[in-house]
Amino acid sequence: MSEAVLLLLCVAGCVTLVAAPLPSSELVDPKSPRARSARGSERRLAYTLLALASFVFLTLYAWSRGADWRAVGYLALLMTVSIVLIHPWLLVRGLLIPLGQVRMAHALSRLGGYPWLRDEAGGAALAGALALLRRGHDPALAEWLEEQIAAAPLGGAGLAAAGLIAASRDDVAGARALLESVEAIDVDLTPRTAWRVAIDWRVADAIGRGAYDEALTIGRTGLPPSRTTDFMLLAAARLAGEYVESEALIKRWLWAPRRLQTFGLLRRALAGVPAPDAIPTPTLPTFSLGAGRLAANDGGPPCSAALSLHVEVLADRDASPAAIRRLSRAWDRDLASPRLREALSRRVLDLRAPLAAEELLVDLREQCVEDLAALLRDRALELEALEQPDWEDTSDERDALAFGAVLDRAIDRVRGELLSGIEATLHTLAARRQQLTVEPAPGLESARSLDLWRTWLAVRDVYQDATQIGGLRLRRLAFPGLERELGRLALWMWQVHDERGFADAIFTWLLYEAEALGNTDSAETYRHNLAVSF
Amino acid sequence: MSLPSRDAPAHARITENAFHVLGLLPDCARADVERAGRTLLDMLEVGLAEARTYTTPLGPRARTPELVRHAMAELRSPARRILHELWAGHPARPRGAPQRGATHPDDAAEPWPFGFHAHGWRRP
Repeated sequence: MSEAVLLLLCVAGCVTLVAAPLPSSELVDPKSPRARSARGSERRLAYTLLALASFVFLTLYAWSRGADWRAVGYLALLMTVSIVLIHPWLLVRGLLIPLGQVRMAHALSRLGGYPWLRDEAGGAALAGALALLRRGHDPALAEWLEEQIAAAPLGGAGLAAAGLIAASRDDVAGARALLESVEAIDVDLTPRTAWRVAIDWRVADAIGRGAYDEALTIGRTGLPPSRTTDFMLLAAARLAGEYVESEALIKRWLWAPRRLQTFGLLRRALAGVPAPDAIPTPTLPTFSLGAGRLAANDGGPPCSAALSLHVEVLADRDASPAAIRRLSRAWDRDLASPRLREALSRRVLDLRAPLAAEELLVDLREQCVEDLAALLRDRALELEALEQPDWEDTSDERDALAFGAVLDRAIDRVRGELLSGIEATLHTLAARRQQLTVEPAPGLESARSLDLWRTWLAVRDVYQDATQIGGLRLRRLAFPGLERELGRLALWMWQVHDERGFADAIFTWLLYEAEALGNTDSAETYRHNLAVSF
Repeated sequence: MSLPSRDAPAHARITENAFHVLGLLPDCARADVERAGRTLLDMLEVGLAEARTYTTPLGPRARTPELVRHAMAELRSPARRILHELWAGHPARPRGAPQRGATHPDDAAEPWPFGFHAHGWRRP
């Protein structure tokens, strides 16, 4: 009798869980992804309780009727199958992914459940992609998985799956871009496991390049990492020069799985980094000035001062803006010096060159501007910092800050190139969207979403790289065109294709940018769009 | 200098200067250019190690037949030669001298390429 009461209570609890309204129904839109995932989570919990309660009740009932162990075994098997059907991830993770069973991992994961409640279709694709990485690359399977991703709105797990498929194809740059962009999708559409997988891959990639600081930046997001990544991050911290106790490192290694594979990293981290005084300091070579080549009254070759500074700045990867300004002023002085003009005239006559010294001077100035612009681009130096004096400038230099015409032109050129780069990517994005509007890929909705997602990521990266150099002035110049094109894309994806996650990522990014630029009207619009889309 | 540059664009004008490539001084005669160019091409063809690198103010660089031919072509034009002379005014760094700026503290970290295996994944 008591067993029957227990079962009835369990069943009543399950029914209540399923039927009960969301606890915060006034705050959460019932149609929102958050509400959907909460309902799904409750339903799974109810099914699990029901399966367990049924097993307990039927076991007790069978026992009371004199059934033997065999009946209990059947019931246990039935319950196990039920639990696996309710939570297929247990089987997928423990068996199908290690065996590289892509289609089966995907098919079973399509049943839903933990951990893919926030993006079930994408989660199934991610399970398949994880299995794909465990076997030799199979182009047909990769293509099939991409079709599965395309068949549903893009979510965080779908993006992570697309990134792993790119990695499987050895498209490392594509994988990095896609896995990094998982963070751009709203958390309500991104299962934590997908986020964790993306971090695992990116940390392994960064450590594989020896970029330990980058690995730490990626891994220290606040999300608890997997045990393997947790160990790798601690080892990376030690290799990056942070203080990490050997005991803590060993404990973390013991706690992580696959200790044999990570033993090499443990050994390297325990060996530590050489003490600062053990690092050899390169000594600068001394040059002979070639005294035999210089007459006593000869000041050396023309432009020698500017050229020496030029080489020094090129050789010093951490050259300061003040050093660049000094270089520019040196070129201005040398290019304006009568000595250079005389030397050029003499050589034109000696070699019977078919042009005047002035024309050569123009060419030389152009080469200086071109090289300085290339230097600014290579070093990603902030243009605004170059336009302002700082403490490294001497007072004379500050007074004479009518900074060089060479630098002035180089900065203008770089700024123009950066703006052109942003406009070119926006043009590509508009053309791609137009093309997909007119000729949608037949039966491949996901291909459209992923394709446009990659293009939008390219636009965002180009803009961010450019504005890092070009500063606030470039941001103000580029933002109107950017928000026009990205806004169109987001609205199109949201209203025509119901890609809420996609649109939300763009609106969120535009909102941050509009707020950073003090553009209150735009910020208000994006805030409204975000509130409506979720 | 229309040859596609293998060095960083800002460095190429110094490191691919025709006089540095040919190992000549800016005041050499035109005949010296042709002679040095032909000699280097012959040495590169038979694979002599001493012809494979040349010194520049930014450290040694690899010398290829294409670079040598391009340098010879550049120095045949009087106007181009004058500009090369100006850019070759800085002494080349002696062979074996450390290259400043070529190694950065960030580059010194030795990679550990087995992170993907530790997760059970194939390495891309």
